[in-house]
Amino acid sequence: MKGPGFIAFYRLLLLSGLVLLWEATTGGIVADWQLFETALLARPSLIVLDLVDYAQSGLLFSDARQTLLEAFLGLFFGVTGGVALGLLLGYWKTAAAVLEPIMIALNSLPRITVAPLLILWFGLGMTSKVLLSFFTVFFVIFFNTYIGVRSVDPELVKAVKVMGGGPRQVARMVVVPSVCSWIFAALRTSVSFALTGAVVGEFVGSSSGLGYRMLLAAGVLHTERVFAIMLILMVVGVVLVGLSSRLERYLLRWSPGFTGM
Amino acid sequence: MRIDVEGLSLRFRKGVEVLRDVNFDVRSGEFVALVGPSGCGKSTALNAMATLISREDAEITGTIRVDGVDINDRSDWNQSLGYVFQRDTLFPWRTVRQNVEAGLEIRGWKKVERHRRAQELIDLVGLAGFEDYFPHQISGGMRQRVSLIRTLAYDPQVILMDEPFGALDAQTRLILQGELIKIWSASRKTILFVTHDLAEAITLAERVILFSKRPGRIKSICEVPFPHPRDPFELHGSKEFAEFHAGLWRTVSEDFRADAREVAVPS
Repeated sequence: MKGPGFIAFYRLLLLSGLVLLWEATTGGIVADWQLFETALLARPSLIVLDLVDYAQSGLLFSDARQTLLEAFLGLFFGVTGGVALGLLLGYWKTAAAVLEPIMIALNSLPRITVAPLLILWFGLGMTSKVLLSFFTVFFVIFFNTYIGVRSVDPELVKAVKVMGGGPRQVARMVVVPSVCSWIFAALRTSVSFALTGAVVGEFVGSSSGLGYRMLLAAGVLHTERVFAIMLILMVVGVVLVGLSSRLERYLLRWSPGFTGM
Repeated sequence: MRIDVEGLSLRFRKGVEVLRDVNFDVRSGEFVALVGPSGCGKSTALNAMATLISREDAEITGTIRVDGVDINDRSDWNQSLGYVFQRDTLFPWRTVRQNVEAGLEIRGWKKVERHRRAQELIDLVGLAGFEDYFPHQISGGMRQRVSLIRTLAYDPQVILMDEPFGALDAQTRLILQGELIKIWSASRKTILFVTHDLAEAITLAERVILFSKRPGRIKSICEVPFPHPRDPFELHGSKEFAEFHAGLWRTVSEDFRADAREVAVPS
């Protein structure tokens, strides 16, 4: 295996090769080489130009702000709600016994299927997207919190007790850190779920946002715009997931999976 | 603190009788070892003494008194007790220092005081430089050292130890036994040490209580003649140690062998 510099070089080489091939087969280099209709597979150079257009019109900013706000609100409420219910059911055994199969059933429902209902109930505005995003995040965080409370190491609880600690100390020294580790581990997935929820919600019915703009563009065969928005969503996803996995790595630095300090 | 165990019997609700009429005492400042074949109930006795067994799980009769008062009537018992587990029960999310400070936090010590006390003990067992490491980053021997000083930190009057060195390699074990002897000699805490290893028991304790196989009863109690402080490395090489060990071994081997037969030929 070569050093990281080589790997990065080959990666860049591969990517530029692919983009070049893409450009060529969509007629961007020599018109005769075109294999695909640009209405179906947009030309990379035109995608970039369209992206500039989109940004200059001011729509990119307002669409992105809309979608990110929906995703963020969904993530926020999903995490708080999931943690709250997870803790409640983790401690309250009877309620947990009643609700567990129901939660599992709801969790196995593909989340996207509630989108039409949400649009019906809450309209084309932001609320329905925030709620869809909320639902996708909520169950992941709920199950992680719930399992986190349930799988607290009884030996550590004993250790606090023999040191003279009461239930409050058990909660602070054992339950909270142990549950947090489960929640942090689910954070990265939740971030991309939240974004998916917002965009899909916009597909189903809305009047603004990146998902809405994408659907609109596809409808009029403005394929460059579709690809431009995919590119934006990819970049946003990479940044957000990257940030949350760095956060996770920092918060879980005590865990055996990470050997660095 | 002095401990008196009188007529202690214990049966789990599932039906297993673990202890039958166990009687012994531990004098204040004494180092006593409980020895017996695995599954004989010695750890259960220790757990009962630490009130770690709930009445829902087991039927317990007899009394355990500390300085003459039943442990169930002493609200301060949990505060004056230390317990070192077989497996190190360090908090994985806390550094070495934060682990050592845990008991002090429970007792509401100020941060500066906690730091000072923890550092003292970390230096004592040669862990200086590892204060900010997490448990998974240090060796098993080091982790068990941290467990030990986490218990010592809040200065409990009685320390119960459940095979604390059982998972360590022979050499590390001797080193830690030596450290424990030093600590005990300097502080004269009351220590009750459970082990299945006869050699370990007579290396450490002033008195050894031998348990029979389940249901655990006391087979015999004997004084260990070697003067303290002892050096485990030196002691293990001595003729006196070998003779004493052999004498005791004859008393217990029957039980240990019976244990082995049970495993070999299940009825």
